[in-house]
Amino acid sequence: MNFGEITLSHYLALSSLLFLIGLAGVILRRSLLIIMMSLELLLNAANLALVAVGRFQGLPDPQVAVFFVITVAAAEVSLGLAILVAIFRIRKTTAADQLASLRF
Amino acid sequence: MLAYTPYLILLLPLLAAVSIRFFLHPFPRVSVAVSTFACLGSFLGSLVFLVLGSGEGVFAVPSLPWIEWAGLRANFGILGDPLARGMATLVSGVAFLVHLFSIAYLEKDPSRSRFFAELSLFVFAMLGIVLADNLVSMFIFWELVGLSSYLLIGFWVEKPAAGAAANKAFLVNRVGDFGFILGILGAWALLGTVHFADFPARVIGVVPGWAVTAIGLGLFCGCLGKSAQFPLHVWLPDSMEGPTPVSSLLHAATMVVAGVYMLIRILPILELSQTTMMTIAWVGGLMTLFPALIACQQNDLKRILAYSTLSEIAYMVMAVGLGVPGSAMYHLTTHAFFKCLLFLAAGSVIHGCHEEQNIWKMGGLMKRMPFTAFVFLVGSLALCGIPPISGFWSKDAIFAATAHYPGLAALSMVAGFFTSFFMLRVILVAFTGEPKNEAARHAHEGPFLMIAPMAVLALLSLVAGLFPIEKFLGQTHQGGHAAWTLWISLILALAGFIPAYQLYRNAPHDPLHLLLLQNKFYVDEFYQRALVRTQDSFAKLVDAFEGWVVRGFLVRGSGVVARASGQGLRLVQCGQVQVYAAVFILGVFFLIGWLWRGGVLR
Repeated sequence: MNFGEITLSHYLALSSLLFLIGLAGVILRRSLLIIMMSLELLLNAANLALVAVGRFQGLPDPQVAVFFVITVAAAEVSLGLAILVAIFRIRKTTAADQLASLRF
Repeated sequence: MLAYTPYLILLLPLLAAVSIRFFLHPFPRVSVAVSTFACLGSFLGSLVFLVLGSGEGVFAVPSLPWIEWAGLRANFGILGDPLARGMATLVSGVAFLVHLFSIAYLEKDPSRSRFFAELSLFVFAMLGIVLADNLVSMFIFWELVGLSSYLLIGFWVEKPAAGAAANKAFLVNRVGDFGFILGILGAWALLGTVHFADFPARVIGVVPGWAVTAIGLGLFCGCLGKSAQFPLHVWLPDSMEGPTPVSSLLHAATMVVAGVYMLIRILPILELSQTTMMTIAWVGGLMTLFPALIACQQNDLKRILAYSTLSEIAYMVMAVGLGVPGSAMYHLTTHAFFKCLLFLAAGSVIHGCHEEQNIWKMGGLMKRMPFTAFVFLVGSLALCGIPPISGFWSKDAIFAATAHYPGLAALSMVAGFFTSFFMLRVILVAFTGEPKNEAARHAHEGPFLMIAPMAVLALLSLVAGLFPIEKFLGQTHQGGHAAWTLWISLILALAGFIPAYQLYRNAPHDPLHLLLLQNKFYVDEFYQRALVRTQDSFAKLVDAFEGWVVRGFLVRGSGVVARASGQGLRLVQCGQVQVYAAVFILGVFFLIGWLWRGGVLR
């Protein structure tokens, strides 16, 4: 069995797999903490695709974009966790299906 | 500049009306004086105008350019022909006498400033009609006269009946004026001019046809409204709710004959169509008899006189229809004198009896108000056409014209019979016998200012027949004399006195009860049913359409649709974040798939 050289397709396949796992986590898991982790997974899947394309095409721009994504993701996580803690203090839960008061 | 001085005749009363309305109305004495002197000024001006022009036929006054638009050229001008000059003198003269009478009649009325302002406005408008040299400016003054008539009928604003009568007069006149304005437009389309002076020359080439008849009848509609001829006569008896001097000046002597005057002005157009002329003659002929019958069973002194006015105007209309405008103007003039006199005498009676108008509550006034009784008798004899008083001469001229139309002759002569009947009825009931209530027992003559105008008018009524008024008005005497019309009409007029004397001599109450006549042939009731009710049901239909279709379906319907779709779409908001995320992702997949199929991503 010849695994051969690792090509762009392998990277993109891995990225897609990570994205689907993240997507499933966002939709299916109930805990807000896990949902946030899944969101990070989505971002990293996108990051992986970007750097892979940048590497194989020899372009610097996607790699620059990834730095921005990482920065924004860091900010987003800190903000999200802060909100999560605040919600937990008030509602005593972090289950997404319990936090459904914004409805008709 | 001197040539423009005739405009002062018009401007003086207008100036008086405006200055009273805006500045002088807190000072009744000043207002009364201003209004009266303005009218006197107009009268003297008209008199000078009349005398100055008598030698040369038409007294030319320069006109001012006014409307020039799309081929319509209407100047603002003053007619100087003998007809206009004579009529202006008549109108302003009678108006001046009524002014004098009103000073005494309304002595205690707190709002007499308003009365005199409105009276001055009327004098201005009426002189405007008389002196107008084209149909457009005549129409404007025509409407102004309608306005002042409305204001004066409703002068006693605290009386609901007066307000209703004023509205009725105004609305009924609208109907006639609608026809009039259509007629004016038609005349302009037909002849290309609205100036009276151009009519005789322009009608020469016109081919008679249905359009010409329609134009003539449209213009006649204006006369029907203003001169209160059938079927638009219903407003005049109700207009008696106004003060008596108003009834005298507007609704007897001057305003209501404006229609006849207008017909004479547009005679060249009317004469184009024999149908129009005959319609006018027959409407007039029927209208001589119709109100004369009604008057026989009325009990209100002023209403009886109002119905006699309808009848007398009908004589003039008939004369115009028969092509003898000279006789119509002759009767118009004498009628102005004796009918104004009758109304002033009625005003004097009503004033003396403390606002009592029912003749059955008067009685015995001959002894208590001898002068009023005397002038009333003079006016009555003139009205009945008894020689040698003025009414006889002018009526005779009209009867002579009916010589070739036996139907019209019969109608108008029988009307004369009933006129004598109801006038003697009024005299016997109101002036002879015993007083029937306290007010009549203490009746008294009015002050000098009420007596003097009556004396002047009585003198004019007595002697007016002796002057050749037709020639003075620039009309030649058309139509010959027929002895039989003279004798038969005179015999019928005298015969009318006999049954009245038999029935009403010392009668304590009316021996006749003719419901048909008491209810004025049910014309008002007919209008109530046919017009007012039809209009009401149509209004209800429109209201239902508005309520159900416009308001219910369109306005409220659109609101309901928006609200219901909002209610439906609200259910989509379940509050579950993950459901939103799932829908969002599905949407993205769908979008990508759609773009892929469309070939955008390939």
